[in-house]
Amino acid sequence: MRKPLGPPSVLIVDEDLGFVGWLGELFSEAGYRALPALNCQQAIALIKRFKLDVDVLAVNEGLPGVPGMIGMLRRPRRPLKIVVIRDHSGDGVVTIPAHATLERPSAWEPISRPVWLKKVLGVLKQAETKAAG
Amino acid sequence: MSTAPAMGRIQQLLGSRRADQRAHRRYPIALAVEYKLLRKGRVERLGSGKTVDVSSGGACFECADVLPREGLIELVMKWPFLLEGVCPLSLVMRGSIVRSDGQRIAVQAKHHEFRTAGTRATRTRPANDGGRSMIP
Repeated sequence: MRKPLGPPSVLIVDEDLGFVGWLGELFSEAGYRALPALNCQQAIALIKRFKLDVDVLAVNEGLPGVPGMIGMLRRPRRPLKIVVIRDHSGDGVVTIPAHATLERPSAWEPISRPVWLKKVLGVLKQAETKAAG
Repeated sequence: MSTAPAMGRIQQLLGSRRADQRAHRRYPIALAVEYKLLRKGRVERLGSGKTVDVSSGGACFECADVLPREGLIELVMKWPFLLEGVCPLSLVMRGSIVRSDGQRIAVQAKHHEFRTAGTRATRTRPANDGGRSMIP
C-alpha cells in the first residue's frame, strides 16, 4: 500500500531570519509544510538528516551553494519547483532556473498578511504552471 | 573646544543605527517563545510568551511577566512544524533586552540559529546542551 503523501513541503532558504519566518507562516496558511534554513549548508544538513522530500524550494539566489543544493533536491519523478527570492532593488537577471520569483519587501513598505498570502498563492500557482509546462 | 567632531560622530552613529534598522526589517510573526534571563552565565528566570515580530536583528515578544529593562536573554521560538512528524525545530536567539515596556520586550540579537531537538540527533551531544543539536 502506498504511503500517504501528506501536505506538500516548501524549503525556505534565506539569510533574513524575519523573512524566513514570515514566508513560513504564509506557506503554512497556503497548505504547505514549511521548512526553514538560513543558508544552503543548513538546508542540505536538514534534508540529509531527515530524508526530506521537497516540492518547492524558495531560495535567495545570492547565497553560496544554491546550484549544488538544487542538484541535490531534484528527484526523477517529482519535479522541483523553484521560487527565487530577490531583493526589491535587485536587477532583472535571474541566474538559476526559476519557475517564479518573489520580491522581498523594501524596508519601509507596509506589509499586510492578506496581500502577501495572495502573493504567495500566486507565486505557487505560477511555479506549478511553469513546472508542468 | 569645538563640539563639531562629537556632533559628527553622533550623527554618524545615528545614521548607522538607522541603516541597521533598515537592514533588519521586522516581520509580524506570532510564534510561541520560551525565554531565559541570563546573569553571569546562569539562568536567573524562565518564562514563556508569544512573539510580536521577528527580524535578523532581534525580536519583540509579549509575556505575562514584567521583565527588566536590560540584561542578557535567550529566546527559544517554536517553529510550528515537527520534522518528519516527530522532531521539533526551534529558532534560538541570544541577545540583550533593549526595551521593556510592561509585558512587551524588545531583544537585540547577538546570535541566532535554528536547532532541532530530540529523537534523531546525528551528532554526539555535549552534556549541557539539553539534547539539542544545531543544524548542521
